[in-house]
Formats: sequence, structure tokens, C-alpha cells
Amino acid sequence: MKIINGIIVIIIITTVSLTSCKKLDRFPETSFSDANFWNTETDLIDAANRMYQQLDANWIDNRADDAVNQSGPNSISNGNITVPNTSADWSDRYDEIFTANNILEKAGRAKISQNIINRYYGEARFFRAYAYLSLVQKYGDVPLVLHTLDINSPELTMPRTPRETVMEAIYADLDSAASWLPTRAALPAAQYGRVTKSAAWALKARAGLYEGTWLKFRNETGWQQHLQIAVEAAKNVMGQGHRLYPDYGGLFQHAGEGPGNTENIFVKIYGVSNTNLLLGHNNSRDLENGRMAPTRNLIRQYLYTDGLPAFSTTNTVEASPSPLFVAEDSEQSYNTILENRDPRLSYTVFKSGEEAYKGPWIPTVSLGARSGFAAKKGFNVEDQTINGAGTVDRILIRYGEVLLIYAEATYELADAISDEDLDLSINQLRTRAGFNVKLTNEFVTEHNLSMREEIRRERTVELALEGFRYDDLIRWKTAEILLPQDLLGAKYIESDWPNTSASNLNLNADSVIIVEPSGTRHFDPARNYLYPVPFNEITLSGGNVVQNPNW
Amino acid sequence: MKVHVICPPRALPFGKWGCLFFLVIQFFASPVFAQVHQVHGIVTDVKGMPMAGVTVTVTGSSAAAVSDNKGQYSINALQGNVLVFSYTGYLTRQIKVDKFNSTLAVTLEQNPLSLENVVVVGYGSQKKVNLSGAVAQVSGKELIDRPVPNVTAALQGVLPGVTVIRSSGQPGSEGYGIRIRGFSSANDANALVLVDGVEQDLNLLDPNDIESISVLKDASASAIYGAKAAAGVVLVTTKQGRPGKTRITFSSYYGLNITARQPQRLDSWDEQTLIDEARKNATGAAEFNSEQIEWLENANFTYRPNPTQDRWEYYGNNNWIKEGMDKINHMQNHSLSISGGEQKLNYLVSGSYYARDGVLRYGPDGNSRMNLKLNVNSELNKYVSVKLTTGYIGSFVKENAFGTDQIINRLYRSRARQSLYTPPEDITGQKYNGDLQINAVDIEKNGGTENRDYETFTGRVDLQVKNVIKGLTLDVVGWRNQNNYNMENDSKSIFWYGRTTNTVRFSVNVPNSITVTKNKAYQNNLQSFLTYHLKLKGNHDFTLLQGGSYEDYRKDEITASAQNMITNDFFSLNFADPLTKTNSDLVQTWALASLFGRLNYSFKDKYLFEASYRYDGSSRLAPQNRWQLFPSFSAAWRVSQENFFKNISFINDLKFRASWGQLGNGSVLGLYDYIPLLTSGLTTSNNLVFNDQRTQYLYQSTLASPDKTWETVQQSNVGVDITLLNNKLAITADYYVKRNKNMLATLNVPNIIGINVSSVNIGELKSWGSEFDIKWRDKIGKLSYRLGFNISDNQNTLVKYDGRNSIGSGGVVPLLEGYPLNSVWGYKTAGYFQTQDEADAYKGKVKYPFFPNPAPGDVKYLDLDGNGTISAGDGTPSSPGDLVYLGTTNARYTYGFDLGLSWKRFDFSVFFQGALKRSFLIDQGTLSPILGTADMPWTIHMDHWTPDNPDALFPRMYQTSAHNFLPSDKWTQNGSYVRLKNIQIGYVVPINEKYIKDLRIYISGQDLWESTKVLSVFDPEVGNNVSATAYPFYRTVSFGINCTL
Repeated sequence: MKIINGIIVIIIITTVSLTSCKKLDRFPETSFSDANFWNTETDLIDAANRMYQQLDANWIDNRADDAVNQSGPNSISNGNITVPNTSADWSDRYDEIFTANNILEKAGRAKISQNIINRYYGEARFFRAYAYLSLVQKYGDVPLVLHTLDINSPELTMPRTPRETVMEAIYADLDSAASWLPTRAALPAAQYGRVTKSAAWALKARAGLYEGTWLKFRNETGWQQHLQIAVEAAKNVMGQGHRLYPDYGGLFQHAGEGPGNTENIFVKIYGVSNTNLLLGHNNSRDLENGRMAPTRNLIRQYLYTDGLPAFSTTNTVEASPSPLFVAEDSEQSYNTILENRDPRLSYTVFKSGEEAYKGPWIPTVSLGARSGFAAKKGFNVEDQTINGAGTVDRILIRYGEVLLIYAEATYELADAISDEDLDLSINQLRTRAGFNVKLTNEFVTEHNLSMREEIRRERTVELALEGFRYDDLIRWKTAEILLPQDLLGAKYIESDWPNTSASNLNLNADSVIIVEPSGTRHFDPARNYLYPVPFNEITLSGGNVVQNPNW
Repeated sequence: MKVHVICPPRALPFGKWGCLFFLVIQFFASPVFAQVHQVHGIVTDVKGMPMAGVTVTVTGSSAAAVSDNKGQYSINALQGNVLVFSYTGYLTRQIKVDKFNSTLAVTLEQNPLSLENVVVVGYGSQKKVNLSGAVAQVSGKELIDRPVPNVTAALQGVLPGVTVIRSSGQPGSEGYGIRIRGFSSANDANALVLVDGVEQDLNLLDPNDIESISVLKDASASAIYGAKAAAGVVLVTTKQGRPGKTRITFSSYYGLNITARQPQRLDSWDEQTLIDEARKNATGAAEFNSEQIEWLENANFTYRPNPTQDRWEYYGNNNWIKEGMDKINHMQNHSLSISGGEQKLNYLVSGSYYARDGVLRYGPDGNSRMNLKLNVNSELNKYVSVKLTTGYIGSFVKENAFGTDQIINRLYRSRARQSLYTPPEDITGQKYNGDLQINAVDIEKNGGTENRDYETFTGRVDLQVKNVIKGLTLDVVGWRNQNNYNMENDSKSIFWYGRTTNTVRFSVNVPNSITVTKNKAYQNNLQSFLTYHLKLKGNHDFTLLQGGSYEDYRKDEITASAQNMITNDFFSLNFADPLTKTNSDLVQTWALASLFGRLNYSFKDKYLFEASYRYDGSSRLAPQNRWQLFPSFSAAWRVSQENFFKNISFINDLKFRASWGQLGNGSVLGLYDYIPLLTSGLTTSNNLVFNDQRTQYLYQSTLASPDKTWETVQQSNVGVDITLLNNKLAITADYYVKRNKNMLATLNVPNIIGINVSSVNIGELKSWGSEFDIKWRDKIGKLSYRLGFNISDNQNTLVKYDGRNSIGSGGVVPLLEGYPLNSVWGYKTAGYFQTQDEADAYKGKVKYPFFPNPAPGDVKYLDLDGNGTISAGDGTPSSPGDLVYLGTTNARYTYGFDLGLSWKRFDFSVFFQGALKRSFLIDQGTLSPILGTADMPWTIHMDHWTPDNPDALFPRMYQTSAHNFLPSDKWTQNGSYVRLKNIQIGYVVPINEKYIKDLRIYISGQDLWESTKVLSVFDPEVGNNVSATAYPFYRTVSFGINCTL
């Protein structure tokens, strides 16, 4: 009995003591608390690295008229886009902006030298600007969020900020970034891939050109200041010792990777190899499967070896085309249109019979290249063997683009450009590609060309299939002319197409493939120059965020 | 007169009521002598246990006797008299006295309808008559002999208010879940399952081990489990040892699973015709010309070398489903249990083996399970007894490393014209053809394996001290549930070549890889509680319970993986490429401390009152929000005990109940939500590369939510229990309202926040419904029969969800204020355009933004709001544009109906189960053939629109566009069904009882028939957004044997 009474007492005591609060503390053992972070440079690097990881590489872009996807029409390109509920184009950018804002708020906690902290501030401001520029290009006005929000922040339902204000914030971010980031030359090879002063200036130049031309071709005021910014920023980059990579084709191969190629200004690094695959992409397989198949609309833009065009930049036959031009109804073979052209075309599109994806290219649409043209630029045999195992780095900003910005912004500022400036920019690109005709004012006058068109053409050709075309058509305000047209493909000549019968193709009177007929394509200038704001962003803001016009 | 004494006058929360009867019987058992003829014998229950206190009377005579504690009775009767054996809670038996038969052994069967039965409740048990809360109980006997994978499956349709959902037919991943009284929360809210008091997974139990299952449905019954009880509590009691002769029971069945309601593939020429129709409509050009179609139809021309490429072209006709899946598969279950011992020490040991094979024809696709259990009861002395429960469960799932779902997906997506094997001329050495697409059958055979072994060890000791102080019982309980999990995935590389090995057409699992996950988890619980029973003068009866418990959980997990083994046939981390090795660890911990108590008060067995509380504290919450009280109250009035009711003889029992209480739901709380945490990039699959090295990055993925607390579910219940006509008819009805007052909901905030937000206590969910259960049991001559019907109605409304509501552009909306959870929204349709004129006229009037050029055979969506555009308006319920509400994915009514017969040696039972008022959608990519160019059409798509088939089920073929398959009334499935859940015929084989006490053989059929309007290739029980990849469901026929030695 005594024992039992004892047991009862012990049990009651245990019960009560067991339930004391102290015993209830459990702390994470395999996750780290943010409160204990932000102390050392390594912490700042690890935090900043998130921005590089979030960086979107945008390999496939079928939004314009230059390339089509195997899976069918692109709804932005053909005008059938509808208002989505949510869109990564919107939300991913704000995820990146959160990361940047978070670093800008917390990096200062580190007890390390201000110079070191500033470098990561600089990276954060670069990435923030990068995200905002992408938002402005698509949506125009967007909510400008420059600090982190929590669920109770009143700014969470803020309206869209006018694009002028967002552009100012982008410039301010990039000025800070440029002042704090290391130069290209000072960046250790082991840190290759991290942003530099050049990247900040180059992005600023890109932003200035975009906004300047957007405003100019809409007859709005203030465009000069943006173009001026573009010219100056481009000049800054041009002072950083960058050189064009000597081999235009190799630029997009493993050969062109790394700090040795100073044309690379900002890249997303993939690697290491397909046997040690840390981060891969599927670009070469995508090209093989026709997910970025070039159209005739793009190919028409290339000059002939005499430096003369056949088609205007709005896709009409020139009054006096290059004598080398073969009219489309007279093309004698699949390759006719690919011959006697600006050498860059031969780096961009495979010819029939040329060693391509798996053996020689034989014209077909059955593998998915709906246009019948096979993309070559960026195709890489080593990257092709396994799905998702491509490791060639994705170039996001290269020096070639900076030269094109310089030329275009300079021209658009004054509606004129000197031969010296052309030699500094466009002719550098031509020379590198082995294209021996120089663009000069005299050549333009002599052949009754338009300098603006030639500069735009140069940009289209140099940057073909690199994801610039759609944004260019938007800012030039030529999308309304170009996008509703037929998307055309290769010429069907039976002897060149052993596996395909004409009855399986939709051909025009010239026996050219109509990939998408103009009847299925439209572009409403009152609406389509801006993306629709995702539905949820409007409703969740309580209506403070308003939709773009006519959506 | 004696009968009144036998009937226990009050609830005994802890006593085994058998014990009481021994005492009672010792007092009253005195032999009765007679003049004429003495009949004597023994009364036993169905398990052969002697029954004391059974009243024996003789019809037409005043003679009466009561059985003693060995079950023995004797009574005087005349030959031809009828003896009546009765015992409260048991079915009365009448037996005629034969000429030479003066010894009469009688077996009494429990009457499951009687309210005298004891029901297991939280921390004790009560007689059903004394319950004031809503508790449903089912005995294990009703769950066995059904060829189902586990106990959860066997519970489907059996109890009102208990809904069983399943998500797949895949062995070991059937995804059975139990939902008590509908939704308690929009979040995960799982019923708390305690098996002999130990928290365990109901899906791993062997039905043969079950003695009974109690489901605590309302707040008063379950509030004593506090923060874990919001979704209801399931108390499982397993079979216990009994004193007496050693008993061995053996049960075994073998079943055939027959795949049913599965999408079927087309012949290659039909498939290609549909593809070409779809292509032509979408792009203006077909893929194949008529010559190529002819090749497909020509059985002698199945391939040719591609003229220009290093590959073959195939024109065969291969039914991938047939080649890759077996229609008939197998399952089996064998259980053995042995029990015995004496009053002071008895035991039960049981073991079982269960196995089921899946549908994949080759390679592993199966689940096996072993259950072992030992229950020991020991009375150390007059005061102290110890109960030990230990168990082991091992569940072993084997599947293909490529993933069973992925293989099934491929079987549905590979072109029928791609033959299974390479041509005889092939020189690459490969057997299987993977020219056009990867070959799923090859993967089944050679893709590698994934084994998942889950093993759990449980042990529980219950030390009970009683009668040291009269009426006071102390229980001290400790238990531990420890799990080990081992997963190994060995992914073997497969390459498919062209005509030579120079060309790799396709490959999978390249490079080959191994992934291993191991974890150990434990949950410890230490609890003690005192129960004090007190009876005061004037029929006041009190039972008080007070206890505390402390619970502690920890899981340690490590995962490692590596690639590039030295060969494709040997998988070990030790032999992998060192550069590719990765690893990560994971520790999860939580602790829960609680105080709990309950008061039961009964006045004259007429007025019952109960109050309980639990005070819980959890490590998951910020220290300032840690503790919360969960109270409950209930009362009942036994009208049938009132004097004015005594004359109403056809009603045996009538009781009204009412209850109110608050419960907590903590299952959605994360472990450390109140702390802002950083994620390491090295634990994710998204790598970052700098300097040719995998590089670390750290980020916060979710905002911390320090203010988060439990969801509090408040539940009110009223109910009535009634038994009539000599306990032959029993009816229970309940009505309840649940309100989750501060439901956690992921705040729907604008994406400009740029980070995930954790859930916040912002919601309110109201869930209400009623339950009705009626059972009848009687005998006609030698035929005894039972009938039962139960139906539950459950509805819910999301009352509050922060006021921000978005339907989006239709489909299933999980959370929408003012609507039930998972509401379905879609457009209204009016058939197809039959002519181009009709389509053009429509296009002239109505903008059709998701498709520019409607044509004959396209679905006509109705412009309900007349604004000239088919749109989702503002995407809100107040401005839904042309969207309409089309129901919810949760059935409103669920019901079950059963009939059982037994006649002589035969028994027969049939059980129907069904649901009403459910809507759901089917995956767009599955409805729409060729939504992606690799999505194939099926046999159902042959019924598509053409000018000759204007009323087809499917619209015209159109590739890579979903415009005809937008969420709409056309595609919303009516998920109502009624199904023959189980049918059984059994026969007790006549056999010498000396060796085998009982031998029954039976045939049992599960899910053999159903009636539903759901698209014929899907089971009506599938979840929302089902796709072709869904693992097929099956019907089962089994043959079984039950045997007692």
C-alpha cells in the first residue's frame, strides 16, 4: 500500500512537471535562422548568389515573326493572348526584386568594410534594375517596390507606378551599381559570371535605348534624354576594354565561354558538362525539335553579299533589290535563299545537306520545324546528346549589343550618324562576321537606302534568335505591321524534300510554306503593345492596379 | 427479479464489465430444483467464453435460473418446453427441450443494436446508453473478409459521417484517407487515429486484428484530445487475450484484382486518322498521306528504313496498354492469431502477411505488408494490473525507378504505330524499339527499381492501480512509436538507337543514378490519468477524470545521391562518380504538452451531463501563443427512463443528446513557422554554377508568421438514439454545425510581395450536416437477417477568407468566400456549331477570345451576361462574367446500404455504397486529344464531331488547342454513383469439432458493379482533375477461409 501511494505521488508530480513550458522549445536543426545570418562577406555572397540562381535565361522566344515553335502558334505572336490569372512574367520578376530588396535592407548588418558591403548592394541594385526593365518592357507602368513588404504593408495594394518613375529608379539603381561594382578587368577569373561595371552600364544603355525609342515613335516627349543616357552608358562600356569575339559562330559554343571572351558582359552560367551536370538547359534539343525554327520573314532581312537588301525592315520587296536576290517564285532549290548572303546567315540557319543535328539536314517539317528551316545559331553537338544536358552559357548581354545600342541611339538622337561612329560600332560587327561591305553614309545615299533601316537590319541580323526581336518591334512600333503578316517558311521543291509530299504542306503560290497564314494573325495597336496585367494582380490589389488599355 | 440485478445500473468507465458479473453471479448463483426434469448446460459467447448471469426461463412456467461464473446453469422443465436464454445486450435464444436431451449447450450472440454495448471513448469506455456525445462504433467482425488493402478501405460506407476517399489504385500508394463529418478546415485536417492508444496509420493495419473501431464525431466526444481532434478521432481497439483454452484462429484469402474503367488505345490507323484530322483542322496539313495510312493497315508492312536518316520508320499496330499492363492481378492476406492464458495473465499474439501486385506487366509494382502484434494483460495483485501492447508493421513497396505513373503515362502517349520490338534486321543488338518515342515496356523491364520500406515498431505499457481508494483508478501509460524508412532508387540507363549505334534516338535515366533516403522517427508519449467514480445518495453518479500527457517527436533523415556507376548493373554510392555526389539532412521535431479532464454526472440514469477540457501547448507556436484551452459540454435525456414512458413497450430506449465544444487543428502548423528560416540552395534541385563548381546560395522562401496559432473548430451537435421492437430496430440521427473560427489560409496577396507567405488565421469555415442510421435485425424461422442503411449529408461554406476572392478563369477554385471549398466554375455551353454559317454568325455577335476561328464541331459557349465577349468578367463571384457555379468536388451525400442473411450453414451479405451531388473535372490534356502533340486520342475520341455525327460526345479534332475543353457544364462530371461495394457468400463446413471448432469458406467480391454518369473510362471515386496517367482502379473477387482451432 505504501509503495502504491508512493507511486501515485510520483506519477502526479511527473504529470505536472512534464507539462511545464520549458520542455516545449524546439528549434530548427537543419534550417538556419535569418536572425543569425548577414554577418560575413560569405553570408553576403551566399545571399547575392540567389539572384544569379533566380536569373531567367529565356532560351526560346517565339513572340515575334522571326521563329516559330513546333507546338503551334505563339499566342503573343498571333495576337490570341488572353488575360492570364497569374503570370511568371510578372511574379518571377517581383520574386527577384524581393531578393534584391532584402539584400539592400540587410547586408548592412555585416560587420565588414563598407566597400565589400557596397559591392553586394551593387549586385542587388543591378538585378533589381534588370527585373524592372523586363517588367516595363512588357507591362509599361508597374508597381515600384523598393523595399521588402510583409502581409500587412499598405503598399501591397499599391497602384502601378508611371513608367517614367520606374525608369528613373532603374537608372538610379544602375548608377549605384556601376559605382560599386568591380570593373571587368578587376574581376578575378574565379568570379566570372558576377556582374561588373560594364554590365551595369550596358543594361543602362539597353534601358535608355528602349525607353527613348518607345517614346520617340509614339511622339511623346522626353525621348532625347533617354537616348542620351543610352549613348553615354554605351560609351562607358566601350571604355572597358571589351573586344568582339573573333568567331561569330563560336560565340555561342563552348569555345566562346568564359572570361577570355571579353564580348561576354553578362551571362547565365551553365555547367559543368553533360557528364557532370550541375545545371543544364535543353537549347540544342529544342533547336533540333524546331522549337525555335527560323522563318523566311527573318531570313529576308539579311543583306546580300553586295551589302544590299531585298526586303525592307517592314517585309516589303525593295524597289530595287540587290541584284543577287532571286525572286521567291524562281528559287531553284531549298538553299537558294541561303546563298550569297551576309555570312551571319550561314551561322544562323542550316543549309540543306549541311551536317546538322543528327546527320545532314534534310528539309522536313515532320520533326517539328514548322517553317522547314533549321536553326543553327547556338546549336551545339555536345549539348544535344541528352535531354536537358546542354551546358553552353547563355549570353544575356554581350558587347555586340552595346555597339548596336551605340549606333542606334546615336542615330535616333540626331536622325544621323557619322561614318566614324559607324566604324566604331556596326562595321566592327560586320568585320568580325567576315562581311566585307561597310555601312557608310555614302553607301546608303548611293543605293537609296535608309540609314535607320540599315541600323535596325543590322541589329535584327546580328542578334537574330537571341530574344531581342519582339522587344524591338514593340519599341519601333512596327509590330502592328510585321506581326499580322503571313509567317513563311522554306521553299518546297520536291527533289529537296525526300520525306515530305506537298499535300502535307500549306504552300503559297510560290511553293513557299505558309507556317501561319495572315488570316490567323492580328495585332491591335491600341492594345497589344503592352501585355495584359494578370488578373489576380488586379483583383488582389482591390482594383488599385488597373488593366492596360483595351484588354 | 434477479434480472434487474444483473443489469449493471451505471456506467463503469474503466472496469471490464465481465469482472463485475463474476461478482454478481457468485452471489446469486444458487441451484434451483424441480419436480420434473432437470436440464443443465453451459452458456458461452460466440468466442466460446463462458457467460455468467444469463437468465434462463421456461415459457409458460415461472421457473427461472441464472448461469454461474463458469457459464453453467440448470433448470427444471418439461419435455417440449421452450427455454429462453436472455442477457442484456445479447440476442435472446429460444431452444426446445428434446426427449433425451437433458444437457443443453447454448451460444449467445451479441446484439449489435443494443445500447447496452460498451463503446470505447477517450481515455476509457462507456456504455452506449450513457453517452451524451456522438460516437459511432463498428466491430472488427464487420470489416473482415473484404479483399481490400487495409482497414480504412474496409470502413468505406460503413459508418454515417465517415467518408473514405482514395486517390489511386497503385499498390502501397492507394492514398486512402478518412474524413469525419466533411471538412473541418480548408487545410489538411487528419483524423487522429489511436490504435490501442498509440498514434498510428490506419492504412497499415490488418482488419483481422481489429476488435472494434470507435469514431468520436462531435466535440464533446473528442475535445479531450484537444488540438489534435478537430477532424475527429478514431479509436481502434485490437483483439485482446482472454483467459481460457488456447485458441488459434486463421484467416486467409486470395483475390484477383481486375482492372476496370480504364481508357483504351486505338488501332494505329484509327489513331493516325484522328491525329491527321486534328492536324488538318489546326494547321491545314495532315501528317500522313493516304499511302502511309494504308501502310498502317497493312499487317505485312510494319517498318522500313528511313531513306535519309539513320533510323527505322514504323507502320505497325501496337497496343501499348495490352503490352505493358496486366488486366488481372493478385492480392492475398493471411492472418494467424493465438490467444490464451488465465485470468491473471493472458495474451494474444497475431501475425499477418498481405501482398498485392499492381498493373505493370513487367518489373516491380507491388506492395507487401507484415503485421505482428502481442498483447499481454497481467493482474499483478488485487490493486495493480499491467497491460502490454507491442507491434511491428513493415510495409514494402517496390516500383520501377522511372516511376509507375511515368510508365503509365508513356503507355498512353506512345504512338500505336511504333512497334514494340526492333525489326529482325536490326544490328544494334537492342530488342526494344525506341525510335519514335521511348519504349515504356523496355523501361518496365530494364529501367531499374525503387524500393520503399517503411517499418514501424510500437510498444505501450499501461500500469493500472485501482481500488486502493474505493472508486479511484490510476493509469500510467507510456508508449513509443518508432519508424524506420529506407528508400533506394536505382535508375538504370537505357539507350535506343537508330539503325546503327551511331545514332542515339532516345535515352532515359542518363546518366544512371542512385538515390538513397533513410530516416528514423519516433514519437514518445507519457501520460497518466486518475479516474474517480463516486455514487452519492439520491442517485447522483459522478465520474471524474484528470490527467496529463507529454508527447515528443523527432525525425532524423539523410538523403544521398550520386550518378555514373561503373556499370549499369551495380548501384552503390561507393562506386559512383565523386563529382556528382550530393547529400542532405533533415531534422524535424515537435513537442506537445497537455492537461485534460472530464466530469460525467448522471442522475437516476435519466439525466446525463458531461464536461471535458484539454489544455494544450505546442512547440510549433511562438512562445506567447503556445497554450490554448479546448472545452466541451454535453447533456442527454433518456426519455425512456421516465415513469411516463414505462408504458410504451415497443420503444426500448429513447435518448436525446446535445453537445457543444471547441477543438483545435494543428496539423497544418509548420514546425517552426514563427522563425524566419533560410533555405540552402544545396538542398534544392536548382543548382547554381560558378567557376565550374556547385555553388551555395541561401534564401528565405517563406515569410515567418509569428502570430500564427491553432485553428479552433467549434462544433454543436444534437442527436437522438432510439431502439424499438425488442431491440430489433435501432435508429440514430444527428445534426451538427462546425465552425472553424480562425482557419489558417494562405493569404492571397498580390505577387509584388515577391515571397511566399505562410498561412495566417484569417479564414472561417462553416460545415454542417446530418446523419441518419437505421438498422434492423430479426429472424424468420431459421433465416436470420439484418438490414442497415446510413446516409450523411454534409455541406460547407467558406464564410470568411480575407475578403479577396478570385475565380480566375474557371476550373476548380479551392477557396472562395461564400462558396463551398473546391467549387467548380465553368462556362455554359449549347452544343456544337453545326455549320460554318452558324459559327460565323456567332463570331459576329460574340467575341471568343480563346480561339479566333470557330468552326463546325466547336463547342458553343454562351454569353450569359450578354456583353458580347465570353469572359470571366472580373473573376469574382459578384462579377463572374459568363462563368457559372457548377457544384463542388466533395460529395454532399454519402450513403451505405447493407443486407445480411444467414441460414443454416450459409451466410450472405451485400453492401452498397454511394455518393450524391459531387462534381469534378477531368484533366484538360486528357479530354483533349493531342493537346500536346504527344497526347494520343483514345477509343472514346472516336465519338467526335463530324458532319455525320453531329451529336458526338467529343468536339471536332483540333490539335494543340484546348478551346473546346475549357471548364464548362459540358465537361463537368456528375460524380454521383452507387456501387456494389462488397458481396459475400460464406459456408460453414461441417467438420469434427474435436479438431477444428469452426471452418468457414467464402467468396467475396469488391467493387463489382456501379452505376454512374462519370465518363466511362474513369472510376467515379477518382479525384478532381484526373488524367490518363492515373493508376487504374480495379474490381476484386476473392476466395477465403476462416478457421478456429
